Amino acid sequence: MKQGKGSLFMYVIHFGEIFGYLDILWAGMLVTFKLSVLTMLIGTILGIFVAIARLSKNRLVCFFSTMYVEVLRNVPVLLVLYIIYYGIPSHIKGLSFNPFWASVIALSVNSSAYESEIIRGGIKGIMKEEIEAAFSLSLRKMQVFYYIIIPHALRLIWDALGNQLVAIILGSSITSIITLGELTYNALEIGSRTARHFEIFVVLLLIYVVLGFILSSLFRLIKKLFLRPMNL
Amino acid sequence: MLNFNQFILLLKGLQLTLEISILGMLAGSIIGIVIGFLRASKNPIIKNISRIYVEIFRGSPLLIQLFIIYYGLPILFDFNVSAFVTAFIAVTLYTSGYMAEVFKASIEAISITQWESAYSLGLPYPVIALQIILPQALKIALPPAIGVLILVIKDSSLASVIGFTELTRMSNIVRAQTFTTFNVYAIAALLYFIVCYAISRLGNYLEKRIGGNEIHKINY
Repeated sequence: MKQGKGSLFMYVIHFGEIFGYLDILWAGMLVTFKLSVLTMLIGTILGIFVAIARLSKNRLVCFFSTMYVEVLRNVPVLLVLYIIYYGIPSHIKGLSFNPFWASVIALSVNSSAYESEIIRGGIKGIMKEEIEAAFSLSLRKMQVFYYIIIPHALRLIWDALGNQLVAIILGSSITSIITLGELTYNALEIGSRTARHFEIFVVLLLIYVVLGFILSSLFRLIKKLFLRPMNL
Repeated sequence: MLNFNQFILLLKGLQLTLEISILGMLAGSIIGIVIGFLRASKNPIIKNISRIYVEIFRGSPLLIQLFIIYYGLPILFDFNVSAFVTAFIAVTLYTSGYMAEVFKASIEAISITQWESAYSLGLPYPVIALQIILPQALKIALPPAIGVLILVIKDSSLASVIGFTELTRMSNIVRAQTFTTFNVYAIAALLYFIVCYAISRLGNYLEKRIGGNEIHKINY
């Protein structure tokens, strides 16, 4: 605790107290994982649909999906979160999201815009000749999709997918503002219980950095082991 | 709907958003240039230490960096920082992380013959870096820098949490005054969209005009 006014660094940094509250941090991490995994799954699935819509020949479909992507890429996630958590329930009487599902919806919708760009880049990166060759070998549409398009596109977009997952985990800290009990929120709670704000924030920052590092290393490892370039 | 005065309040918030974003972008770019040169260096110690810096400021959420500066530092030292100053410092550090990577890529995109011929002319490293490499790197870095600017404008909305009255916080204030939740947030979203979309189109236009063909001209 502060010992007196008037000089710098009178505060004694003491990380020890945090260790008593590790279970709260772990609970928060579990919520963050749940939120991030759900967001990534839903965001990717939505992103596939939006990507296909953006590549469609139908000009109306193309226009609306492009608008969807551009709006979500240019509006802050926090505002999307507010709109879903406060805005929509205020219009529809009796509807209220709990913070977890509001966060899932907001984050996955936001992520789907970025995912659709990634997937669209992956699909476009496959040369037309490959697909034509596959069809000329009388493979059916579904077979072409499963054997040619998905493996090739996966290798092209793998790095970007990893970055997106890390971005989702970092972005999940925003949901603490609408009182979702994930990592940041629990850390704030520990901070107010122990009054050791500085220590807990430093620990929190290190947790996120280490998490991001582990995840991106994991993605690189999977790429090395399983996603060798195909012999085409 | 909102009446006129409240819309002006929102515009005031937008002004503050743009102020903090541009100021933070400029300051962060200056730091980012320095760290970018460190990242592009051949010395592995310098490279890895600057990599740690970049990993910390890119790899952690801006929200936590804001909290450390706003709540953590006053406990450590004995003074209070205003919301504007903490938002500025946090945005600057966050931006410098991104800009360091952008500049590292730009510096590495410059043909190595530039360095070699400059060294063979006996020029010292600071002169080479400032007068030969930096102008070329700035040009290459411009399109991704505009992407970072858009990122900063969007992430500045987080400063509302520590009480800095930019567009998001202003929309919360107006919402409390008028109880028209959805409309206020929708208008704020529209304002963000107009600004960011315009800047990204500007970036596309600049990218076409700058072209990157300059590199091929200098290559021999």
